[in-house]
Amino acid sequence: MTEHDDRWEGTPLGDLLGPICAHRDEEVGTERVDDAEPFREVNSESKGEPPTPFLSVLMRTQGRRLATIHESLLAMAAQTSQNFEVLLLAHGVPRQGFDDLHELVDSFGLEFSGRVRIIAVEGGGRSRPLNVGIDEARGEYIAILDDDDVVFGHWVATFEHHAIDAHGGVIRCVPAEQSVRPTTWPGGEAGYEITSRPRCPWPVRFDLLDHLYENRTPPCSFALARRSFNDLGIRFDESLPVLEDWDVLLRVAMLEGVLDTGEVTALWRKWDTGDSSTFVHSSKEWRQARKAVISKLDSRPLLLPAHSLVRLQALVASQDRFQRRKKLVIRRLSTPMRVARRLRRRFLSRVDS
Amino acid sequence: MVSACELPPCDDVTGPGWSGAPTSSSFPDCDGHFVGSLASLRIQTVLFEPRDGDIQRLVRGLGNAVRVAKRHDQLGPVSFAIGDCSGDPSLTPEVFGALERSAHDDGVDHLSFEHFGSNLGSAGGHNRLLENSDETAVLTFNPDAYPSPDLLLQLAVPLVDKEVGIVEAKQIPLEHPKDFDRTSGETSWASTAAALIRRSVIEAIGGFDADAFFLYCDDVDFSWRARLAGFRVTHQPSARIFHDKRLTTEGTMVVSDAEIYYAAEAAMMLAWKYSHPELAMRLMRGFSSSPLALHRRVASRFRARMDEETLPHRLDPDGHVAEFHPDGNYARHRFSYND
Repeated sequence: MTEHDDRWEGTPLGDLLGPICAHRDEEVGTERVDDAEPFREVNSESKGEPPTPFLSVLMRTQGRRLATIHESLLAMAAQTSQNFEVLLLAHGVPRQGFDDLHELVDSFGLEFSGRVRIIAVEGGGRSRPLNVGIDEARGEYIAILDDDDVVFGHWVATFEHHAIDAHGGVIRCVPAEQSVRPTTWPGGEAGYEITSRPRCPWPVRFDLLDHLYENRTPPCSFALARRSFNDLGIRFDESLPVLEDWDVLLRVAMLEGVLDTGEVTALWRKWDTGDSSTFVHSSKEWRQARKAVISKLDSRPLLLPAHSLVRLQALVASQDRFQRRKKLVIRRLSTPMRVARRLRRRFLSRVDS
Repeated sequence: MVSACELPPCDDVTGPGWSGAPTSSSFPDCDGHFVGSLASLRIQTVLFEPRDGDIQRLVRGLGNAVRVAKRHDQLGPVSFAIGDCSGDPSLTPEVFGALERSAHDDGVDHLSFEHFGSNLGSAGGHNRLLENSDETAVLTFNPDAYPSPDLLLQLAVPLVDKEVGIVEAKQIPLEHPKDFDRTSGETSWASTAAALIRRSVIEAIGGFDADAFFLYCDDVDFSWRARLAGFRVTHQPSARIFHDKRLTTEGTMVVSDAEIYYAAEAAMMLAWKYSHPELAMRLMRGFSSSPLALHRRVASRFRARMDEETLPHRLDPDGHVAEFHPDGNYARHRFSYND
């Protein structure tokens, strides 16, 4: 914290703002920044650099699923708004796989491939490529599109359309999911097949309290302002084997808020079998990651959105009613036993007398 | 039936421009040789009131697919015809000029634009564009779709089998639920959102039935007639297009009024044409009592055509190709979008 902020030290407000202020101090020395950075960046074209895209799309890949990454890229090339760049984060991809990725991207033609950067990432877990991507991103907003997910034609346009109203907060769309499993296509290519209709099992509206309990927003269905990473010092937690997106979503949502678009713009693929994170990581790893995310959040004060108090009161009241009902039921169920005990005591006292 | 379209077998690919198999591991080959089936190609698309940027994106995407196929020496001359059913022309001469230059740079030999002056529908529009073409293969393509770079190369692969008459691409993000044979790709019918058709199929069956089908199921009918003529219809999952469909928050497909109307009309037409008049009548009675005004209107129109005796002639009386499933589908489906 800066000298200016010392008066809050040791208070809940200090605990909440401390890490943010510390990050700002690192960025600017100990000088206090009086002029807040405007949300809309100055167009870099005037400085002789390529124009700043609205969206930086972080696409993680291990180069093992060319069939699906082909489709993820195709969906991007077909977007109604082309105001984006793609950072293809090749995580631990061997030389041949790296060449295949280059060849695939180049095949889309310069107008698209010129906006795709393939970046080699070595080491670390699922979070490492995302953090590398954040450092490389130039867009006002950042979104994640893994190499097995696809998006609808208005994915970028919807984020872009709502960016002004979001004021730098999280922009969330309604995610859909569809089950798939690996298969071999006619001709021998390793592919996949659809095994269910698309569903929308997640809520249309973001609710922070619900999300504090469990993640209800897959990574392909939200975009975060780059300033959330730059100004708040937020990064994906590299100690988490999974749920790194949930962790960041919660931290940013609490500080920056969430704007719901109400539009279904992304299709998250749920693998029935195969090497997706669902199967690569054990249920124990998932449980431990969830516990770690919650412990980390619980170690600091929480900033809840307006009207949360009413929700919390309702939750506590509901819990209270449940406890009272439980006691009543137990009392009723145990009535015969209590009567029997009373009668026994009377009987014994008469016998004694 | 053997197709009239001459395809060089894999071990007999010769001719100017052939340079053997590509080195790319990402593109299809046939025991080290490309199938080389696209001696000449007509690409055609029919527009109706396109959104801003749709045509530019379409020409850019298809131009790129042509560029990739030509780079691999798998494609001869290409003509690309755009037909416009809109009230006013969707392209100005200046915009068309820019598109023409861009397409030419990608290897499209001839780009044309025709404003029909009236809404001919999908089937009628494609028929009009087919009138002045003689290429060995025709790619039908929807204006709200975008091709994968290797689309043409992938669609050409199944055509090495001379009995295959139509090859259909896979659609993303919402894949068509129609079932297909996992080994051969054979399927009941092909969607003309992106389908590669041998010229000999068109010569054998005479184009689309624009009298019966205005907007939907013209491709179902076209496929079934191709199969009756002895051709096979296949689905090629590695040939991908992005088709700009959307989902509701309930997970169902967003459908327009036009789709509701013409899908209902097509259902009755198909049942009638493929020798299931009892099903056509049952559908008509159902639509007549539907709470949807569009359904009641289309039922009334069908009744009028029946009275006028302008319904199509019956085909496939023994049910060799036509499929009418209880769920209203024309093929077995792997899943449903509207459960």
